Amino acid sequence: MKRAFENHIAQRYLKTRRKGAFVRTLLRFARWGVAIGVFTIVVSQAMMAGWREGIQNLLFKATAHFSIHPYSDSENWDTDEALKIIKNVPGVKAVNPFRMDMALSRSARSGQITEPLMLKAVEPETARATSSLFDNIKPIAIESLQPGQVIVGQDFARQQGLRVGDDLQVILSKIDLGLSGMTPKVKAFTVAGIFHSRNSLYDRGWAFVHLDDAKAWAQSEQADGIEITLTDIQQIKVKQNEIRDALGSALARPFITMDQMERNRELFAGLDMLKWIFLAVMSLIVIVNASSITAVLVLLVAEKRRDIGTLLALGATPGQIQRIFQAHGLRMAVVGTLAGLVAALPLCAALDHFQVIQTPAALVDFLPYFPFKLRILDIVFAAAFPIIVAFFASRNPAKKASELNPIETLRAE
Amino acid sequence: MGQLTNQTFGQALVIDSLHKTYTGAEHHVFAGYSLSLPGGILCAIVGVSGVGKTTLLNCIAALDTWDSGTIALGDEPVPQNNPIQGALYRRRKVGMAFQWPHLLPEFTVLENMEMPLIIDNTLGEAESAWCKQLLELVGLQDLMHRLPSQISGGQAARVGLARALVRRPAIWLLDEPTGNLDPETANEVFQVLKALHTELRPTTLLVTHNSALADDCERVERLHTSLRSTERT
Repeated sequence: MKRAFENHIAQRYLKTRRKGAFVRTLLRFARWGVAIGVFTIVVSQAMMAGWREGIQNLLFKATAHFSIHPYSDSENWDTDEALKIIKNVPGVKAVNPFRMDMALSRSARSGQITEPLMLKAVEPETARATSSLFDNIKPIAIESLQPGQVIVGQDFARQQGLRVGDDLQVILSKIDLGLSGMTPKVKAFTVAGIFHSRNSLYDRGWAFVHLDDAKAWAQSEQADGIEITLTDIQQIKVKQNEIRDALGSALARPFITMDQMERNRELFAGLDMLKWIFLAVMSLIVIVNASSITAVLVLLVAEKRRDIGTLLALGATPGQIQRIFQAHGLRMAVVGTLAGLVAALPLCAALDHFQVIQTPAALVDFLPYFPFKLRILDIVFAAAFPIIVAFFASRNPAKKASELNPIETLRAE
Repeated sequence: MGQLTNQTFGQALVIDSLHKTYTGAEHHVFAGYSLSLPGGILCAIVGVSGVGKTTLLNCIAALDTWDSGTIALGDEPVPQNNPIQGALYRRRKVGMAFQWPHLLPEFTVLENMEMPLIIDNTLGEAESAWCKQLLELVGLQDLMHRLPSQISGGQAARVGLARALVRRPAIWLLDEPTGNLDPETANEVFQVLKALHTELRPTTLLVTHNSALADDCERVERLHTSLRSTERT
């Protein structure tokens, strides 16, 4: 039966329909304002998180989770020994040695030098487990790739007018010292397959060859580095350190690691910045809307002057009066916040689950729909922020209410 | 009217050499005013408008301040210039009713009765029963679940009187509780007031302009502006 006096009064003030028309209208605005602010924060943050996660997943599926390289003297290390050590680390799902080279392509059909091509040499037997790019190759499987063959991206093939069986020359960034002086290395490959990822970066600019070819033109028996895929993507940072330390101590030389987050640092920094900008703008909306709580309370205090005087005469302390109106302000914010959450959470879940919003045609291969990912921290922020703002917004009018002179308020009748 | 309790609440009131001047005023409201009342008495305070009757009640209730002199209720001096101490003192010792009942419009009659206990956070089953008993005493037990807007002025005045007794106060300060009522209703409310006083015996100060009602009190304290002193009958 016992109930805190302040909450008791505040709750009744909130529920009653006896308030003046202005107070009622403003109260409705304040609640709706907070609800809309919370709604927009939750939806925008879920959208940004969805995009980030979608892009992240795309990148981590297209390539291994991270790669490890000797810090220096990359032609003088034991790749096979390193592979054995890495495979024994718990949590490692797949490994693949590779070499990377920048090249310029020259189609035998057109003879024109075209855009730069990232030539990646992989071990065909183990490559599939480290990248989803190899899942969509036609007409061969990556495991069938032979030395002298190349697999190119769909966009690149279309651009160059290449078909399976055509020849492709690549000019490597290696120098040959011949009779006529220094000339770039030129290699010819037969197009054995065409892959299609959902990322134009790969489809237009990447090609895959056999690791033996790369070793041959590099005149090395070693790979540049080893790509590693983990069973748990969340363990990337931990496993990077673990594997780097394990290799460093076993092979007595330093190693460096690099993951897709680091390789795409600018992209993710941009996404993060966008997320913060969204958050700042939405927070301003919440601040403006929650501030209308101040207006509601100012009017309510003016309307309840006599009641305040009565309560003081009955023995209420100024602190209790202040807490009544603070509780009233907080209740308004809580009601608005709950309404915002109730609207936003199921909506985000449904938009994500049913893939309701399709992306424009230009992005459809990249992300086919707008993903919405609800994260606990975002929800907690969206719920807590208006309440904190309301606390400060209601402080001043509540303080003024507590400072009213009961004699004057009772005499005013 | 049923027997409520044998306990009487009233405590002696002693006012000694009270001085009070409103800022900017040309004359003193009180200039050495003194008053001594035994516990449990029903005393009417009369005088022309502006003489300081309400101010006197406000000072006794620690709602107003004074320049010098002392006010003591029982053995306890009335605090001043300390809103928190004043509020706590009112909770312990003071019950107030006004010309307008000042019932909170959002709360039912019973909830208005319980409000002093809700303020103290001491409302329990026994206290709620006591509130209902008081309502029965003023003949409003059937209206306890109505809102103030659903009862008459006379009924509201009776609720205001009863609410002031909920905490079993040492002093019952009544500022023209019948001043807003027609003579017949005023007399009816006064009879209720007298009955409550007889039953519970709080020290009671009744500010009134109605000389007939004042004459019916155990003592009449008459305030004079010009003399800044009092006559006692």
